[in-house]
Amino acid sequence: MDRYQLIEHTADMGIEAEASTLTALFVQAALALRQIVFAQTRSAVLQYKSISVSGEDREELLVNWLNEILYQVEVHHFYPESFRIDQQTDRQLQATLSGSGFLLNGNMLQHEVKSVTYHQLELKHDRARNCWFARIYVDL
Amino acid sequence: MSIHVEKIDDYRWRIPRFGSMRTDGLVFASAAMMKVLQQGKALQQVCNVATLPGIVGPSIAMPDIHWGYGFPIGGVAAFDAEQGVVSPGGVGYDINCGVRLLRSRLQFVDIQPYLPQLADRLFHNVPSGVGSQRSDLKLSSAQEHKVLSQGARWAVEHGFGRDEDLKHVEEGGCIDGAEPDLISDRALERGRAQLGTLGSGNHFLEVQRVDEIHDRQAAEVLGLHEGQITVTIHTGSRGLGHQVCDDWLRTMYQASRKYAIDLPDRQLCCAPLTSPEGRNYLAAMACAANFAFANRQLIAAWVRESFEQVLQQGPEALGLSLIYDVCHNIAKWEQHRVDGHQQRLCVHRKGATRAFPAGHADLPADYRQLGQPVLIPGDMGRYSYVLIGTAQAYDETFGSTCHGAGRLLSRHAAKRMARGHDIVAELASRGIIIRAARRGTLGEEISAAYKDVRDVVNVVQQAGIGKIVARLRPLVVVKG
Repeated sequence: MDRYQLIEHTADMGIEAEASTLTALFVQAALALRQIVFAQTRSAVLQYKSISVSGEDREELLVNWLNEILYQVEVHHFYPESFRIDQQTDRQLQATLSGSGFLLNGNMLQHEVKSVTYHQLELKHDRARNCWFARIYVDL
Repeated sequence: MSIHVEKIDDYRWRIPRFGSMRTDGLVFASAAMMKVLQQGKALQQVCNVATLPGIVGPSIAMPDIHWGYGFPIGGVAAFDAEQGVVSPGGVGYDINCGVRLLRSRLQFVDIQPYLPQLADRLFHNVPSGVGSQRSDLKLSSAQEHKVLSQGARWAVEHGFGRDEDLKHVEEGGCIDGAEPDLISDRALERGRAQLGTLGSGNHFLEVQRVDEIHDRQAAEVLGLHEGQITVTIHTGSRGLGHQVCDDWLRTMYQASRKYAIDLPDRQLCCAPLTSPEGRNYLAAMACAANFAFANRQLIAAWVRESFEQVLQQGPEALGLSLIYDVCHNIAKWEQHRVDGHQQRLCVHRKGATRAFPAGHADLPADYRQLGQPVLIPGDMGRYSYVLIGTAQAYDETFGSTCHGAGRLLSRHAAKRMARGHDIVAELASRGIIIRAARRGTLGEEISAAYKDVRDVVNVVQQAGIGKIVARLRPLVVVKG
């Protein structure tokens, strides 16, 4: 049942994700962001990146997690093939990104995302369906 | 929820204060535009801005308004220096995204045979698209700090442009009070590789032909005439500005709680202008704004270089002098007359342009009798406009007017509409040569994705908050 979809916004783009656990939700959101950013996928795993992210609450943690991934893409030209969250609380997480570097002059990138926003951000546990849900918009 | 609006006249609409709004909303739009607006969420954002502490006058929306983050895009709001707040959501992620217009001494007939070659040269010389950069511009950390504190002057002092350019840039190309020490390492890192880059999305570089003159006297002062070649550059502060906004949203969210400010939307987080958080945000924002001024200055230098290489003419023959450079996303300290008294206000313009009238002391001497040039880009297939600021705008909108066409379709919807069309060939059939780093961008940026900018500038002209001087048609478009 873990899944995501991209949603429309007049100027930009959004993500809706749902998953059985909060950790799985963060991974789904990351996969959605990767789909927005990259025009192509890759399966090579040549590098591992350990990252730590913190936030004042779950919502800020989600925004900061996705912004950290954007930073790895934009500054370190890193394609994350998979996302493993090793430890997570409401205010901190530690994760391992596996993937490979890419060349900027290729056709790997699709959109330059300025940032992940707090605009109409929703992160909640749906008791009736017993799943976690997030909606988040990115500024393109 | 549908927002109740009252018609003031054919181009003005009031949103009467309700709920926690501290003031009314004032929307500039035609009846047709208002019909569309009432189906969307941007009017709610006008109301949300009206709830912020210390707002002076109405929460204003320009006819190119669309749904943004926190503030609507096309929003203007002024805040009292003592009681008011500053909000990164009122400036946006792309701090000092703006437009610069160069005029040339060339006529369309002079340049027509060279246009394909010029398109290639501009695309080569001006880094455009995700991740592209010039290999001959490497910025050290110390140099980057100088860029943040000196803005366009840094670029001129390093050989990119001329001293006289700076007179024709809003704020002289440098906003005072920048404090580079407030900028995070991550923002510096993102900025270092991106100075002198166009970026992607709606950013562009265009070679244009002046195709209509609406106000001959004003056009003469600006040095514009029919058939003349101009160049427009539209870009901002790149990753540095995006990161500054992101960094300060966190600080401002905490500050909103600290100062007990009720937020209808987390993206509107803010701090009192008198607080350390508020003052520091403005100092950090000034750094990003200065980076954007330097960015456009560098790109203008490479535009000049490209023309010289292709046409084999020197700077004197080509002209390529700067008409003006305006900010579209900014918060600035300004003096305005409110209820008969001069008041120092922090004016937020998010997707809006300063449009000061004739006689304003902040205008360069050669435009003092005319008013400020206002540059309104349209979409890549139609046209852009040059306007001048008016006394009416100064009285009614804190000296502000619209900033562009305003998006109508989402990127997905635009791509769907573009499917099956050869956009490059269709533009070519209309005399427009396009070079884009990614073909995907073109589908997202088709004309139909935007309002017709003519409708937008007609509203501001009819409402008296801008006066149309000239229309520019694209000949060469470079997109990221």
